[in-house]
Amino acid sequence: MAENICPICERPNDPSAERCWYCQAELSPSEQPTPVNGTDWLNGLREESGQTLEPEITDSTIENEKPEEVPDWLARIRTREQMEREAQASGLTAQPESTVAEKKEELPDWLKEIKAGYSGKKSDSEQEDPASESVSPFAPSTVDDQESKTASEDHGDDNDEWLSRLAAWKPTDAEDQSINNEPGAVDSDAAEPETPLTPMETAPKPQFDMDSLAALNQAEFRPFEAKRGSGWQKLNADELEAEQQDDSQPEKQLSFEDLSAAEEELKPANFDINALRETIAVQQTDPDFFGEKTPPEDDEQLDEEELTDDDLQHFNFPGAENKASLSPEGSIFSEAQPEPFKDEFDSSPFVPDDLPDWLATARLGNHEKRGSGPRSEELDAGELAEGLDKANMPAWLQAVRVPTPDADGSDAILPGESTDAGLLAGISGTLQTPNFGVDIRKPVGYGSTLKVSERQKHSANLFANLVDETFIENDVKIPKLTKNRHIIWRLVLAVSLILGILLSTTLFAPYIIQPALFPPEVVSAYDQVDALSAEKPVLLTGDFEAAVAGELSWSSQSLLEHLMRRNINLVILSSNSSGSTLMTRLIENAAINVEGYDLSTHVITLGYLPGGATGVQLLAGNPRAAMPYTHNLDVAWNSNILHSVNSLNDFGAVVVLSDKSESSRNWVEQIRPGLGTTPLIFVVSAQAAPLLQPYYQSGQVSGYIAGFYGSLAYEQLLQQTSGSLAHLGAFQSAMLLVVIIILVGGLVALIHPTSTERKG
Amino acid sequence: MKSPLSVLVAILSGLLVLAGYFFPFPALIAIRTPMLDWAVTLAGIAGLVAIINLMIGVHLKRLREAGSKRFFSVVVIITFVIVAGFGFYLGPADPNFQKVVTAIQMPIETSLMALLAITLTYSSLKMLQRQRNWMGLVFFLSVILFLVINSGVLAFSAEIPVLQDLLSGFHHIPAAGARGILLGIALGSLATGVRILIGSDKPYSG
Amino acid sequence: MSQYEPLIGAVVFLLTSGLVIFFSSKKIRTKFPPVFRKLTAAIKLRRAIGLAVEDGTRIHVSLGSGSLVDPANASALAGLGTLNRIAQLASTSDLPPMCTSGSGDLQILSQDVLRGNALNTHSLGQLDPGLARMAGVTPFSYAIGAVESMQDSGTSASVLIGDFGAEASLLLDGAENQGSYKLAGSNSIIAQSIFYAQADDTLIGEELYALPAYLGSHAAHQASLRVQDILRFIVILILLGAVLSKLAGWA
Repeated sequence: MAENICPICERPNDPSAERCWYCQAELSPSEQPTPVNGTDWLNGLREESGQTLEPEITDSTIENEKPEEVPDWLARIRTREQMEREAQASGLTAQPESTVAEKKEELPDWLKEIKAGYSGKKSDSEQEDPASESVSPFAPSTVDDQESKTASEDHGDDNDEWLSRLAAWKPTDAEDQSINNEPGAVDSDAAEPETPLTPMETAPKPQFDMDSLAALNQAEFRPFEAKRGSGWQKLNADELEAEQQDDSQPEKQLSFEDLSAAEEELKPANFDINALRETIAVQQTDPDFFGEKTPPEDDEQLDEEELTDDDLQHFNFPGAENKASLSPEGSIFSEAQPEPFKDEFDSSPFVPDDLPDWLATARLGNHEKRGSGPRSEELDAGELAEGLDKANMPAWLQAVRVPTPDADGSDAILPGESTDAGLLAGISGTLQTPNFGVDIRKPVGYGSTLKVSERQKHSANLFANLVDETFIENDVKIPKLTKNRHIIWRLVLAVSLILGILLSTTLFAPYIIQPALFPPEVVSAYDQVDALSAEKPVLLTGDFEAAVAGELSWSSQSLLEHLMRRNINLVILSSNSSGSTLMTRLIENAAINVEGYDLSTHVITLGYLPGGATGVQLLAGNPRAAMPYTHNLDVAWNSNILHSVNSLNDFGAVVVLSDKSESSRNWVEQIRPGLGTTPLIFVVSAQAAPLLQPYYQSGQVSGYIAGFYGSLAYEQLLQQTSGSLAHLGAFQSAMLLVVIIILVGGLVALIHPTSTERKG
Repeated sequence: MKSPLSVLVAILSGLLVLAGYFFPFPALIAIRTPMLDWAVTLAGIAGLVAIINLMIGVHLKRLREAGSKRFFSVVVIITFVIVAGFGFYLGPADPNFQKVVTAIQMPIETSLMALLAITLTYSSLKMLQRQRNWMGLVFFLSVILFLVINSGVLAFSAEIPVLQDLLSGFHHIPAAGARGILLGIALGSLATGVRILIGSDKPYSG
Repeated sequence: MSQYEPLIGAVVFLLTSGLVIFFSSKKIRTKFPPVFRKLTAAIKLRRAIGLAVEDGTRIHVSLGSGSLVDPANASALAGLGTLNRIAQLASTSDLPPMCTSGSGDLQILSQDVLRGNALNTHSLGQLDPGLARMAGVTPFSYAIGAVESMQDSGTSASVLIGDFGAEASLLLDGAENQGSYKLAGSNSIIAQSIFYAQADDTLIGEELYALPAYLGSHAAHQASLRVQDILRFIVILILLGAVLSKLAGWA
């Protein structure tokens, strides 16, 4: 029955099928497209098989009636194998070699190689395992179906012998051995020497029973056929009907062990499917499988590159001719009868519908003798390119396929030489990666420099100009001229003040104005000190920094001298870490002017009182606990001065020397409640005087001496001459000079304001 | 995240000291007094820690960095080591050691105090450039007035009653203004302290 | 001390605490939102912080030479709160804020504040402990040390919050030479007068304690401001009553 060739993929389909099994294209029953490349070697087989189909069918029918239920295609294969063997046995060589040659040329290279390699495998496989079984090498492969488009016109001449082997499916008896042992007898080419295979390449002996295989195939392939319904394994309608009669029979899962010896109806073939499988598998894993063989003796070496190209899924029939010339020595089909028997072809075991296009159009090409050198050098890319026809992809696949650069041409351009560079340098038979113009293994080096386009540069320049303008307008940096102006002004001020002080004793001396009145707080302080009892010590506390020691030395000098002249004992402590030292210095300076006042017997230093206001509070609560020792770490409260003092109100007076109003306030707030009637006297800096005045006015402070004028007034009350009067001129001169400078400068600033730029 | 334990300790400590101040019961005083001692001791230790941090964390670290200030950091570190060594050996009461304060620290700080005169004068010159408003003008005039008053050149005012009263009034104005400011500061201090005592404000972590 | 003074003090403390808690509640804040007068210094400080963040410069905070054991520690605590808030606002700046103080306890607390902010911003590894330092043990040595710290540190703004004396003039003069923005506030009257003459913006009186609230720290800050206003009016009423009673001859 005529098969329904798919117009898209040109594969045979079941005539009753509405859609192509392979590409799902719609089939018209009337369409009988012919293969595009009418070089499908299998077509020839189909033609032959078509002629012999009826008798084959009859045979197959007969077979089907048999309990073994051999499928028709298998029967055809067997028949063909048998015929080939007969032809070989008879030594008939007058076969239409042209046809055979054509068909050989149509054979794909891998097939040729397999055939060539099988010739070597065959001898070993038969001896080792005669019972080995094999299954169909042509396991259904959708990829094969898709890609078997057209076959090259010229396939190898091994079609007949390969087919014979395929038809037989198993070598049996001595016939197989005789056939196999004939060197080159199965080689359709010019008796190419066969290279003995390596142990890995050794193919298992194709010893299987076709009937058993058929039974096995019934179990294996019938479901497959039911699913696919098409393909080269597909049975024709009649066969299907015949097989359907057997559907009632339970499918028996057979194993290879169940396979018995082949029937006499089928001539044993030298084809070993297991060998083919192994060959294919080895080829996929080891590209050098065929390339690294030892030089065969008059055997044709496998073209490793041909094998790699084929990949068993990409059969390049255009190159099959070339490949056929370099058929693998270890091909399992090496023993195949290259004799193109038309009759055999006519009685091809393959139903045209069952075979894929590539197989149908493949032709057995002549095996060319291979040289001992590397196979890669023998190949010519140009020849390959010329011989290979590009496979045509189905339209639907081509539509969805993403075009890749050089992808189409890369397959055709395969250098025969091994690569000189890269990871696979020196290794022949490797796939050459298409050259995309870029070394994809190396990362793209961008370099360390910044790559900026012209547009980006232009934009950056614009932005920089904008920013510079903004910075220029809001420049927060003080220019150098302004800094120098500040320095100059300060120098001028310093020089003028120093000059005024120096000239005050001479130039401004007549203009000194002495105070006329005594401040009441100073008078009160004088009265309090003058009224003190000589039996009670006076507590002198220092709470000032070294910076104001000079001012306070003037302010406190008269008061200290007044206390010393009264021969009053003094107890010194400081709430400042450096205050005790400063207080000691003040006492020493004051004692110089008072004769007969022994500091060692009249003065005791308690040292540093830590804690600030908290320490003062502790002192106010329990002075013995707050200051148990002197600054010499002697027990303080056992001395003659302090043995009668238990609290602050036991002192005759408390005099506080302070430079800040806050510390003065602390002393007032903390110790005033515990002092009782004991006077509290302050000697403060001029800056603290205003804030201490309310405390004086409220009676919390008995009196205070503040600043230069306070000390001057106390000196006048004491009727002693000290340093304050001598420095009055300098004091007044400097003060008036500052007033003039500030007044003039302020008025100038008021009239000519200068914008001061600063951050924020 | 602040630990609740630190907050609890802070609140309890503050409340105990405050309660001991308001209610001088012997039990509270017995708790408050040692706590104040601990606070004073901690303040001293904190000062020591801060000094060590200044020497090691700042000046010693600056020695490793390149710059012109390395020399001054070397001087600071060497001086610190020498003075501390002498202080531990001689003691703070030693007259020779006290000369470090009287001969070095006091002149330096007194000089810095003298610089204030120049700095404040210069700032007063440019004050009207910065404070060009009525407050600035009043401030400026007040500076002039009180400088003149405190210079003593108006000593003749004692013979003029009106002027004497006027100058006395001027003496009281700063005190009044300062009192108002101090009241506000006191209220702010009170609120700040209350925030810490009730745990609303935690200037510490842990 | 009068026998009534502790009682009055306890009453004042309890009243203040209750009012702060009351005004801190969300319900009251929502129902009676606080209305504060405009504080120019706070606005300028925020702007200075923003500029510092943009420029990648540093903000220098000075806490003064006061100690926590002194009554003036309230200003130091306000300075710590301001430092905390500035550190939060300037957390994205290239240079974190720097803090100088004149006492050891303030140095430890300021270091702790900066460390806490670094933890919150997950930049603890980049924190320099030397950014919080005690510049000097005496006021003048502290001022000189703080000026030295400002130099070559990329300071664009100086904030002086704490207990200062006359040495503040040296600090501000050093900041003036840096060309940085100066905001100052202190509990000392002397320092405030100096600040008014030299600083760009001065916090007079209790504005020092209001700064954290204006920077948006916590609800308690805003609540304490409202309590301060209430207490101020109470004090005013008491003073007026005392004056009137004195004039009337009742007291």
